This record gives sequence, C-alpha cells and structure tokens, in this order.
Amino acid sequence: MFGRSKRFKQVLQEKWQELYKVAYAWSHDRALSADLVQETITRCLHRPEKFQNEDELKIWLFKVLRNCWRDDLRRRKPQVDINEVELHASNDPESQHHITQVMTHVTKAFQAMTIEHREILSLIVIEGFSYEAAAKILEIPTGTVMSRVSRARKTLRDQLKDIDFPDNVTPTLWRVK
Amino acid sequence: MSHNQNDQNENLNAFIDNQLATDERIQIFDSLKKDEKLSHTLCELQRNDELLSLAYNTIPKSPYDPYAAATKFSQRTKQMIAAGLLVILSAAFGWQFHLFYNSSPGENIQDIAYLSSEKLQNSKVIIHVSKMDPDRINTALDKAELLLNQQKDIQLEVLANAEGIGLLRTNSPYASRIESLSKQHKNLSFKACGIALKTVELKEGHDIELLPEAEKIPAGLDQILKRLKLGWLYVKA
Repeated sequence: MFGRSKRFKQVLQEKWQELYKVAYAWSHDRALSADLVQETITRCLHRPEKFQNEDELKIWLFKVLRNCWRDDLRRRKPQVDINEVELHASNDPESQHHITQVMTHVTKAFQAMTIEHREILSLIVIEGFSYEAAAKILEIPTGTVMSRVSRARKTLRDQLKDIDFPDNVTPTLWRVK
Repeated sequence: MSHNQNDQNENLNAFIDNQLATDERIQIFDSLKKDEKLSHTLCELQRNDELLSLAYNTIPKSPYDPYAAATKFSQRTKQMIAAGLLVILSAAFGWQFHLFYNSSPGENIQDIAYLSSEKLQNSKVIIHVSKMDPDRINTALDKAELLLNQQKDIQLEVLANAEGIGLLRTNSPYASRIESLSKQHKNLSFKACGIALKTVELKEGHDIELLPEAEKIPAGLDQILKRLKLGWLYVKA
C-alpha cells in the first residue's frame, strides 16, 4: 500500500514547501502557515491507509491544508493587516527596486481579494492544479471552479489596472501556457 | 455582463489554464485573431498570473520545518500510546498481583533478596528486571546462577522491561556474563519487553539491537501475568 511505503514519507517531505507557499499566500503569516502545514502532515501521517497513490495524496494534502486554514479562520476572525504585509524579493536594491514595488502592490491586491478568490488562484495559478483537482480540493463542482477562476482573475485585473509596470513584466503578446 | 460574455470569459480563463480540448482551443485562437480587445485581455491576465507566481516564489522562509515537527509529534503520540498501554498493563498486573497475594501470600511472589534454592518449592521462576540498578542486577544474576547450579530441573526466565531493558542491549555491561550463563544453562532464557524497546527506540530515534541471547516478546507485563497464571514464581529484582 502506498500509504505504508517509503515513498509516502518522501512525498510528504518534498511537498511541505509547496503547502507552505500556498498557506502563506492565503494567510500572509509565517508562523500560522508553518502550523497549518504541520497540522496537515500530522493528519496525513495518522491516516496512511487512506492513500493509494501520489496524485491522491497531493490533492488530499491541499484539501486538508484548506480545511485547517478554514478552521483557523473560524477560530480567530482578525486577519493580518494588508498594509503590514511583508514582501521578500531579491535584495539587489538598484535593479529590483521597481519590481519589488510592483510585487508589493500585487501581494496587497491579492490579500484584498475574498478568501474564495485567493484560494482558487493559489491552487490554479501558483500551484498549477487542473480544474478537476481544484474541484476535489475545494469540494465544489468543476463548473464552479471555472466561473470562480474567471471572476477571481477579473478582480485581480481590476485591482492591478493602474500599476506602472517595469519593462521586464510588460505583457508578452501570444504567450500561451 | 451577458451570459455569452461570461461564457467567453470562462473559456478564455480555461484557455490560459490549458483546460480546453483541442477544438475549443482552436476556436479561442480564431477569436483572438479577430478581436484585439480580447487579445489584450488575455495578455493582461497572463501577466497578472506571472506576477502572482513571482510574488509568491519569494516568500519569507518558514520559521521551522513543519515536516520534522509533524514527524516528531507523531513519535510523541506513539510514545504516549505506549505509555498508556504500559499504565493499563501495570494496572492489570496490580490486580493480578492482588489476587495472587490474597490467595497464597508470599508463595508466588518474592523479592530477589529473599530468593534461595533451599526454600524454593517451585521449578519455574521468572526474574523481573525493571531498573538498571547494578546492585539489584548483580544480585539477580548471582542468584539465578546459584539456582541453576543447584536445581538442574529448574526453568528460569529473566525478563527485562522499562529501564531494565538496558540489561539486554548489545552495549549492556552484563553482556559477557549473560553470554556465559546462557552457554552453560539451556534452561535459562532472557526476554526483552517489546513495548519498552519501542519506547527507547522512539526516544533515541534509531533501532535498538539486543544481545543474541535475548528474545523480544510483545509485552513484558503481559508475559508476567501469563507466567503467574501458569504457577511460576515471580521474583522482583
């Protein structure tokens, strides 16, 4: 059984940074993100018999992470002030100054979005999940994922409309994933 | 926003996310060629995606390693379960002890200090070692040797649990004595409690090797109860 194999623990060890990245995108709180990831892995280690393969495990990990995050939100309402959000970019001051400003703007805009929109964009854009996998993680129909992604991107676009982008992040026409 | 426009937006997003079938992708390509505004929207959305990915690629490091913390936590849970099991077995043993004590006081249970072959009426003896107290262990091994030399038909079992498990580890200070006693007496056996062993393994974070003379059994206290039921003499070292 995959849950009892050596690979199972290896995957957990490999995935925690991805989980942390998404948890941080949701919460913007280092300590909370680490705690959410720890709780997710602990739950996973307690139920190894649940997992038959790696894909299933990855989806389950993000599903549990999201449940932990939602539980935490229910427990404590106050959120991180988006004006205090830290951004850690390259520390080359001259060449990175403008892009760091843009990134700060992006993260602030992202944090100002609804939780649902943050969740869906983190999974689809940051983690690259398919709509089907995101639907499983968020426990919603695939059609809802499709409409939610569309609305979330539109919101982000509206928020970022007036930014003066540096040359190296100007849109590249016809670049398709 | 019209229903059609919603559909178009959703399809455009699905196109960005590579979620469309080939024919649907071709349709979007055709629309993009004809509609400059749509092309611009696509580019903007893709740029925002790139920015978002970039922004969260450079996040602050985790204050600790959650994987290591989770696995440690899991080990702690196992230790707690083992400890809980030990408490239950101890309680069961206490009850059994009480029953034996009431039915035949002093007959089946003795302290190592009072053990002597002259008074021994039993041919099956279990010596329980639960502490690494050199005085008690030396006394236990001395008395065991004496009994084995004087009573040829005796069956003697030395059982180590809790802290006493150190007696049967490969680095035991009594290793050579155990080896020589085992070679001389086929009716002597050494048993190591599996629960105590697991607890030490979790604490030290690696597998524990036992002396070749030692046999691992699932639970030490359970073994004592079984022996008592079969009429063995229990001696506490």
